[in-house]
Amino acid sequence: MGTRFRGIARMPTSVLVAVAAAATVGLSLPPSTTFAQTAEAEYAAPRLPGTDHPNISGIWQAFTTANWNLQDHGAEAGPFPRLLGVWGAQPPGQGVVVGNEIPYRPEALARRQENLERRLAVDHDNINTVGDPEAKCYLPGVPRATYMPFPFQIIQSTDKIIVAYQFASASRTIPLNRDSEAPVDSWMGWSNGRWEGDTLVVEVNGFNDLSWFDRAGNYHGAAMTVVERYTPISPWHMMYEATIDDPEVFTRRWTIRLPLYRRIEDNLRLLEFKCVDLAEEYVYGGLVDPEGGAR
Amino acid sequence: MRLRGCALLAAAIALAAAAAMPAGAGQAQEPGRADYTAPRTAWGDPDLQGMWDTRTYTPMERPPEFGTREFMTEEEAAERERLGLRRVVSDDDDDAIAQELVQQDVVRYARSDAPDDGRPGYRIAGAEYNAFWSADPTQPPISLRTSQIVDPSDGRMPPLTRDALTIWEAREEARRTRSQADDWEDRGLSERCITRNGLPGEMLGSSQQPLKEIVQTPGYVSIVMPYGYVRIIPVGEDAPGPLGPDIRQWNGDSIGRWDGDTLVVETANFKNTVRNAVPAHGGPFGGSAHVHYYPGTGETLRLTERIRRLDAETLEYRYTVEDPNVFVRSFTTVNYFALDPWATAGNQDRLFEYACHEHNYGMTNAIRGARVDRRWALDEAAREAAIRSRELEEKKALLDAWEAAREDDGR
Repeated sequence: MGTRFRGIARMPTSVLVAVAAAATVGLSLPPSTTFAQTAEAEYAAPRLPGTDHPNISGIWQAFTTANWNLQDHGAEAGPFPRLLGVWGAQPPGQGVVVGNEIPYRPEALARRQENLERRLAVDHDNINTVGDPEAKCYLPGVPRATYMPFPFQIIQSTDKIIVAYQFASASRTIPLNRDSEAPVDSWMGWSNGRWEGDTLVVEVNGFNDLSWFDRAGNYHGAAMTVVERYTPISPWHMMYEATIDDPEVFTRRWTIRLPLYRRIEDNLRLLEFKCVDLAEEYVYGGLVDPEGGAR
Repeated sequence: MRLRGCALLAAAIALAAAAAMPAGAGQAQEPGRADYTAPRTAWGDPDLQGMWDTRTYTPMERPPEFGTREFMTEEEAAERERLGLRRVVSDDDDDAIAQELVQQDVVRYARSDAPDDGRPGYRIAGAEYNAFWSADPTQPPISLRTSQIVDPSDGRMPPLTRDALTIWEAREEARRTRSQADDWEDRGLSERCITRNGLPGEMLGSSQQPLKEIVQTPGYVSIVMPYGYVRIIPVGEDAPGPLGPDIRQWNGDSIGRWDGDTLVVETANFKNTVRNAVPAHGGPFGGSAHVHYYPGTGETLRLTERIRRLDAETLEYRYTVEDPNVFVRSFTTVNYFALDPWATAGNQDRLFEYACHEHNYGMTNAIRGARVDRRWALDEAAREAAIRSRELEEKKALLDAWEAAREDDGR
């Protein structure tokens, strides 16, 4: 392993022992207590110098199929199997929604179904309200940015945290202990953070109503608020939770929960996926050649 | 030859002496104090953090009347203000700002009443647009520098190479049959929402987006860029090695190191693809369909930046551009960034989201428009090509003059 993990290597042996012990204990615990839950309670992360808080800087990634569907989903052919074979197929995945239910209001379910049916539609007169924003390389919103199949990097300073996502070069600034108000709606929302023990809690609001949760058409309105919780559970793992509230679309709050994994490759950096030029043919091609086909 | 050698030696000694001087001591006009020591982060790195106003009034290239003088006098600065080369209102005179904006609107309204010259769309620059969109109620930091370019010593952009001019001509030829918007690739990178100016041009602010925010963590300096991305610069002994040559990025790949209190950032691996005659890399100094300063491919472009604090409220920002395929020699610029008082007082705690592509109705309209009247779209493209053609002839003349001067030196 490269020298990049000197921070971890310098960690007190007792911490590593605690992690190892937690892992061992985890094996003998009743099945209802997971490794993650045990580790979450016992792991003490290295601190950011000059603060009492864990240093969660690094390049992270979710390994889940939640971007296809937040809820349980089986394997399915993709939208263009004749063109793409299984390149476009949906892998199976267990849901990340706690309890697996997204509590839509009855009238909101129809919109979700329409989203799903038209997820790859391009309507030039309603370009950013029809179809999955991901396919068009739009800013992914929160929490979707977290569990897309792309890494993101956390840059944690004393009173401010930057999160830079590979997808679409999206980013967020999270000032700590400020609670400022969103001056205007946005795709990535308005984030305010604080530490609760070793958990970074981020309250996000000020969203527009255009971003989706996944390719299955799950969506929200502009009244959405998200409370995220980032909790280090080992040198290489964080537990991520997001509680979503939007009384205009859902009957109650609901929560997603998934682990984040630290990327540890040598020579690693967050590469650029400014995908606009990769999406232009999809977004504008119909204007150039309404019949479709290759240009 | 012997004389020339002596002159070179003398110049080298002078340069070495200048380099050895502490910041601000060599030139009275330089901001900063000689005895200033940059603060440190809790983990020991020089602390560059803050919300920085990166605008400048200083022109990229030096106006010829200043010759090889890097700085103008206070009197000359006042005269330039009087001529309108700088804004005349101060940042605490709200009435004057409002009055100036009203005046700008009056001028636009007057123009909008001019007879339609048959080019649909062109009158939209008139009454429909209000000056407050580009209102600029605060001043960028004032510098007496006569140009951003400090090397070459004439303060001018070095000429483009013969190869670069040949590529430029080939692109013009390839574009000849294309209209303004046959498809999206006929528009510039800025209109396509890919990059605004690219690097390093985007490091300097405009009245619309003056600020950059620097946020540090152990091993990284990040710069939040106003046009929709974060520059992440690994620094120090744990920084990764260079990226392989097959990975090319719009904003290149940056690796930093600390040289005393100065952050040195080397950026390479810029995009090197060319499609449809429009360079995929918009160039460091403009992503428009016009090829102004950088007609290269990005293949051999190398950017070196040096950032340091001059005092509690000022950063010095230097960059050097090297691209032997495009410029006959490298060039270096100096700019100053000022800590933004509005943000520092707690009024703004972040840069705002820049969702450009998400709401790019302009591109849809441009492509549709070019189909409504293709003849017109072709004529417009030809009119723009004529402007570029004049720029190209100017660049050729610059290179001819530079080569002639070198021949004289060689004799």
